[in-house]
Amino acid sequence: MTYVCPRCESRDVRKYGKLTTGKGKYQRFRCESCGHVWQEPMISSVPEDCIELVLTLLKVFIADVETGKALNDAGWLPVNDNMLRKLKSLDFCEIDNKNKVARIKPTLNLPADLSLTTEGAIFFDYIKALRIIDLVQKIRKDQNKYKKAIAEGLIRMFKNARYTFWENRDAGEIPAEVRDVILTPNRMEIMRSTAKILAAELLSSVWGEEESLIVSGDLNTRLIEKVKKVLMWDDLVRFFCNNSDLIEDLGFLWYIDKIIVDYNIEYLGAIVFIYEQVFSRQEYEKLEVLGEELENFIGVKEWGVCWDEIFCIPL
Amino acid sequence: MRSSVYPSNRVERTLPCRWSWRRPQRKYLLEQEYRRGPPRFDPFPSVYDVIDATLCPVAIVHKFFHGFRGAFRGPILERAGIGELYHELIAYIKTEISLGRRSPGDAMNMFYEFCERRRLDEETESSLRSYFSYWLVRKRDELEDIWNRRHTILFEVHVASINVTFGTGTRVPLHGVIDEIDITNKRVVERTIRGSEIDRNTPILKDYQVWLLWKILTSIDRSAIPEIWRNEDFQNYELIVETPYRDYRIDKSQIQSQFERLARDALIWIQDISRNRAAVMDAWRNRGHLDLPNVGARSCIGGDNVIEECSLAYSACYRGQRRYPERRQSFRAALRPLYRALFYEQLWNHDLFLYQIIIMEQSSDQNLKEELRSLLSGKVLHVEMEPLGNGRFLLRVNRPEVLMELQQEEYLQFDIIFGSFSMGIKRKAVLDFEANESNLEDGVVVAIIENAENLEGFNAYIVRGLLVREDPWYLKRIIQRNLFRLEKWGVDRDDIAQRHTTIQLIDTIFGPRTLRARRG
Repeated sequence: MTYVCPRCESRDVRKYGKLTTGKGKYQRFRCESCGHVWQEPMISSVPEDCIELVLTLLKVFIADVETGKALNDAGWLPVNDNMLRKLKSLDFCEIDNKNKVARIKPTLNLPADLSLTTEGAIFFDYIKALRIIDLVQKIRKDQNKYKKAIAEGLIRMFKNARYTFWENRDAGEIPAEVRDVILTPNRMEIMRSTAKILAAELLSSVWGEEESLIVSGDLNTRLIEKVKKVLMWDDLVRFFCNNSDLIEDLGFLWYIDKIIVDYNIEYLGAIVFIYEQVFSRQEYEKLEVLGEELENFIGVKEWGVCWDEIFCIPL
Repeated sequence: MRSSVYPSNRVERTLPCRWSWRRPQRKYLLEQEYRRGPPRFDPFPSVYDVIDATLCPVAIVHKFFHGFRGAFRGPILERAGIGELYHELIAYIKTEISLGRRSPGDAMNMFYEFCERRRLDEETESSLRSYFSYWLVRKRDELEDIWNRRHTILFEVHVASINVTFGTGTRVPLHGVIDEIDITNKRVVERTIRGSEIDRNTPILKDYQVWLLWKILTSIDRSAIPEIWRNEDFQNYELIVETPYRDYRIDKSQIQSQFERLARDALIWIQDISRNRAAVMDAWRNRGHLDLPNVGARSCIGGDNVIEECSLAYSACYRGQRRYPERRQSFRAALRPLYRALFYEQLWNHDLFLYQIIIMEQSSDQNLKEELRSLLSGKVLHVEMEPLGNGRFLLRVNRPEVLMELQQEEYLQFDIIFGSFSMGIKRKAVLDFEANESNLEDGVVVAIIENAENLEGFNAYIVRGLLVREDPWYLKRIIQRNLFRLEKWGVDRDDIAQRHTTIQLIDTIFGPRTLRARRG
């Protein structure tokens, strides 16, 4: 295992004794570059002579999943008889005596100290990623759930958007009522509070559905109308009515982003793995140019919105 | 001689049918339109950007969005700054000898004087001595030759061009710093402390680096090169990679097509990552594939299988995950647009400025050059220089009123370039308005220039230069870096997490709990 100084990120690190507390045993380290001393929890749930092998099994699983192996085939490593016997005692390991291979069970049941290692954390992320992919595939098969997911995703997208505007120096200025919303100090709060309504109305227009997507609420109708004017709503709706697949894909991507956050996946590889399974490269390419296409569709006006910062991929 | 390792087995980015590098439109160059949103032009990459992208495209992701300096920060066991000190030391010694001020036999004394002047501690001096001793043993004959023939040698030469080509008609902008140009021996030298005595190949991608710098040098428009060097045939200069242990001569003909392919691939990565969010996924898939001479193809997959020379492996890509704060991912989702926004600000400030200044020097459109000169007159002053000794120079500007404005703003620190921005020696300068020799009404001011010991002899060669004032764009990078650090920081122990204010704050703001103030 390689350790990196958390302060200066140097790899010139030496072991610096052990520490035993009520919470467990810790290995202390000292950075030779900056002198920083810190501790890492020691793995006590695995016999010392098996630690390296267990970590290797984790790495093999990660590598196999990254290269596209199916869950049932991922993570198997040939092991000698002696090690097989030792791994049998570990309840998070899976053994195939016939082929003399072993692997870590693809579940979230690793011991706490193992899950705190880098390998353990990445392993967890990939297990969660596989579950998310499963979930996404199930949602896609159910039309109602799929539409609901898109709606949730679009609400999240509008809430996370950065609303920036520009004014054409030569051609005029932003209308007063629009400027009132854009320049107000709580602009972001206003835009976020209307996210639900905007998402619902956009999808209603695109799908032509009057019911169930309309959200009743106490939001000021005048305020919503102002926000729609700020976002050039009519042009926006016309564009997405002609490109319904784009708004659906975008909404679904943002929904997946929400699940990734809820599942607490940190490792970039696992996040990339999920996104790659959900859409093809061509679909991402179409979404990348959405902002530019929207700008071309709406045309040059006295003022405008930076669409790239609203309708964007959550990466 | 070739590098020890090159990228391979990577899915090369598809070269578009008509690949072009988007430069800023006239309205943005002349600041006629407001800067807004994602810039509609590609970055102005440095040689280091291209090398990082060649090593691993994920390095560019971390560089652009997370504020890292790059994959190569030097050898892992290197004390901070030894590389820079080594460069300065060699430059100082060679300059003193080439100007006839000290003899080659005095080299060790110069070393001790250098260490004393820099106030180096014992450990740093010892590390530096170990590299220098190897170098000195090999270079005695060369130093004698420099002494006898009074070589013209330039150190830390900044080069930039908007017309670099790599085997296609596409012209791309690129800038970098050449460690040494030996005009007398017709050589471009890339100096490094990496490598070891037994290495048969150059340190990783160092041959590529010197070749890229040479490509920039040979593509600069002649009119933008200072007169003194305008007639040099840089095309036929030798390329050398110099380590303390040996020199490696690079055979340009042997490496040409391979390096052109690597450069094109790297530039497309830089372009895609700056433009497209989905390119981050492709970058991850193509991380760190290298072809090692005795090991074979290997890719960077974490654990012990990382590119040893890459400093980002454990600090960015495979950084240990901490258990708390628990709402880290929500926190990260909130930071995500900030990383990109800060990157766009850097493009709008720094890269656009580079475009402006280089196009001002190298464009064929005279009207545009004039307009840029007028626009940049507050940030870029054309100066004439006269050395006063001890790192002090007298600068004469053609617009005295600008000096008075600078004094009003109390803005003192600049980049000073001896030569032109396309090809010049760049240093940091501090203006001393209070000096006796300064006379703002006549447009004269004293500048104190760091690392200028080797420049005082240049008054015979370069009297004109530029004083450049740039907005502190690098602060955006520092913000990115600190945000990323905060995003990844955390603790594992429950008891510490419960008591830690920052963790509790993050989990409350980005989680379901409520923050309540205590009464009384």
